[in-house]
Amino acid sequence: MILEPLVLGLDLVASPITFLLVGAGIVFGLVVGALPGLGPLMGIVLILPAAIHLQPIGAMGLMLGIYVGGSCGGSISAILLRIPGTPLAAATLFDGYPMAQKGRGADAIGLAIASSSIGGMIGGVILIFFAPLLAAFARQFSAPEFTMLAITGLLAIAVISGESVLKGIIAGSFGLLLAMIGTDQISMNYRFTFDSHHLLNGFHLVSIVVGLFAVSEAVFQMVGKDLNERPSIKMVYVNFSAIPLALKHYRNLIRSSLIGTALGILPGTGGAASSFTAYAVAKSAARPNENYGEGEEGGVVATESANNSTVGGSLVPTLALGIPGDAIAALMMATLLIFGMYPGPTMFQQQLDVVGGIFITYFASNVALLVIGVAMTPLFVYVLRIRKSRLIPLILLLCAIGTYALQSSVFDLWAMLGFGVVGIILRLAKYPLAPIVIGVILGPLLENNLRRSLLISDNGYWIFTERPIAAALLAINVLLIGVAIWSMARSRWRKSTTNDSSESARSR
Amino acid sequence: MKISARSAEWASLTLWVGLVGVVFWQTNTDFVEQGIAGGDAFHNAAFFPEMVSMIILGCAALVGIGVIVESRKSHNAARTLAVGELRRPIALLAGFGAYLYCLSLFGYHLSTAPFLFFVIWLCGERKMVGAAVFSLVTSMFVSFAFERYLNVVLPRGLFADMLFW
Repeated sequence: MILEPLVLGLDLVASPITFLLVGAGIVFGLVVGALPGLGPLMGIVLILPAAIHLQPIGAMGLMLGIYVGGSCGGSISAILLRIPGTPLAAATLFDGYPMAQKGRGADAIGLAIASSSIGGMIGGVILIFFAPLLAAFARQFSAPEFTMLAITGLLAIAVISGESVLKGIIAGSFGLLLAMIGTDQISMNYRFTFDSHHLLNGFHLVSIVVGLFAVSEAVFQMVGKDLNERPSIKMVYVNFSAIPLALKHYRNLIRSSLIGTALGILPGTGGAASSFTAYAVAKSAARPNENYGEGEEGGVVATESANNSTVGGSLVPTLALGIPGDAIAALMMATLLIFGMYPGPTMFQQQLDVVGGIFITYFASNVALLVIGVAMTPLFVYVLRIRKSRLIPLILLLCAIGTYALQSSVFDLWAMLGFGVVGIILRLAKYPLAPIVIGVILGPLLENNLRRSLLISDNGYWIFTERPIAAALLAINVLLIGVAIWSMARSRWRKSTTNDSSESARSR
Repeated sequence: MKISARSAEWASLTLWVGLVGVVFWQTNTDFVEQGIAGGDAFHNAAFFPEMVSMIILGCAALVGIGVIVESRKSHNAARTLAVGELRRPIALLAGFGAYLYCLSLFGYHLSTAPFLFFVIWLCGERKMVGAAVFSLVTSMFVSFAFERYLNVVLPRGLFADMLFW
């Protein structure tokens, strides 16, 4: 059962183009990861319009390469500049930057790359074992279970992703509404098309995503002052002695990778949460002679192995259940949907070769990360010197041409711009954007299964409590809502006590 | 003059209320005309949009109450941007919109390099020759990548036949 997808997938993957695309993805991922403000999500957003013109496994290899490379790339700027390239690397700077200050920048970057690669492979082993089991279990699911599962996926992302749970729920619901534009899959009538033929299939997912994330980010970057400055950075050269250096901390490596994978499996938690959790655990388990926070190698090993193993973990619910583990997994799932493949238990039955191909390209991307990351470190350090005045126009150009390339439609371009404006307003108002993407992707799944469930039960909602798995998922959803309400109440209480104490300090 | 994050809060709340209004308007007019607005949950195409809209409205109401309570407690806005700071982002957005318009009118090759040059200038670069070279090279490189390798036909515009390349 474990080997079967791998054997079938070898056929799809056995082509030099696939591995070239994986390598290209790693290079691009490391570049976007290293550049502050971009990151793997932006990298995938920018490459998505081009990727859908490739063969499915090649496209997935490219995107997995960006995901894996981008999850590691943020450590380069964190270590050298004390600015994490991505939130995933925020914990890496606790020990990575002090190591660089002590003249051990090359060791720190080498450790980051080696730990990321090994952590990713550990996550991959769990993916290969666990995903088929979960998919087999999910074959018992029918409409009520899928309804509850979709709600769990949405709630989890909405509750965890931003500062405000209410805003996360609104964002997810907005995504659900966007998914309803076009043809209703049950009645086959048009909804919210306003008699426009452009909206018969709704807004293209890529224009939504590119507009919300990439266009809004480019505009936000323009608020900065030093757009034309080049940071001065000393060149760094890494070698493969980083591998035994990382393996010296094998207990930390395995523990942190398991933490990252476990958290990656839970929808909503991403690499940032994994890396901070793994760092906290590693620090608490530190020996007396280990000084975390002052350039301890174990600090870099813990954070980087955790944030990369999260990638493998996030692919488990994405492939096995069709519920994306995070926004990046959602985009990869969207790519599969565009190719006419439906992640979930059905994919494990009918397209096991594609599943195996994805497993193999994921492993290949972690191997490529190790080789390319070590060999091409000077390139990624050089990339940090690129001025924003060159980067911003390039991002916008890729947004425009990439979106146009989807359907050669000018309407898609204007939709992208419109969503860019919406993205700017929502970011200023501190709404998380990831739940919108999850809502767009899970919308059809949720609506169709909800309506089917109510048809089966003759409009009775008790069907969700009568079936044990659906009831368990409903309980999880209620728990998530409870956690959300509790955290809202707690943050309000903290705010009010902080305001009270500052007012009393002022009155003295 | 300053713009606060609170302005964005109100703008987003207006967006949600407007969106919910549009949903109910459509479900009570267009959906009724198509005959898909009634019946049981399975056949009622308006059921799910209306349910989701009520969730948005309810949550937006709570967010709105929170914004009002916050603004009464603290008179200083949490984060402000001077209008001067917004000139560049607004110019970028306007320039990007103009570029998208020019793409269909003049095509990719005539519109892209000037747009890239404009953005580089907006970022403060004053070495015009370097900016012009970067704009031209980038424009040609991207067109090569998309047209040659991805077989994408880029916007040709009204004057495509006059271009010699």
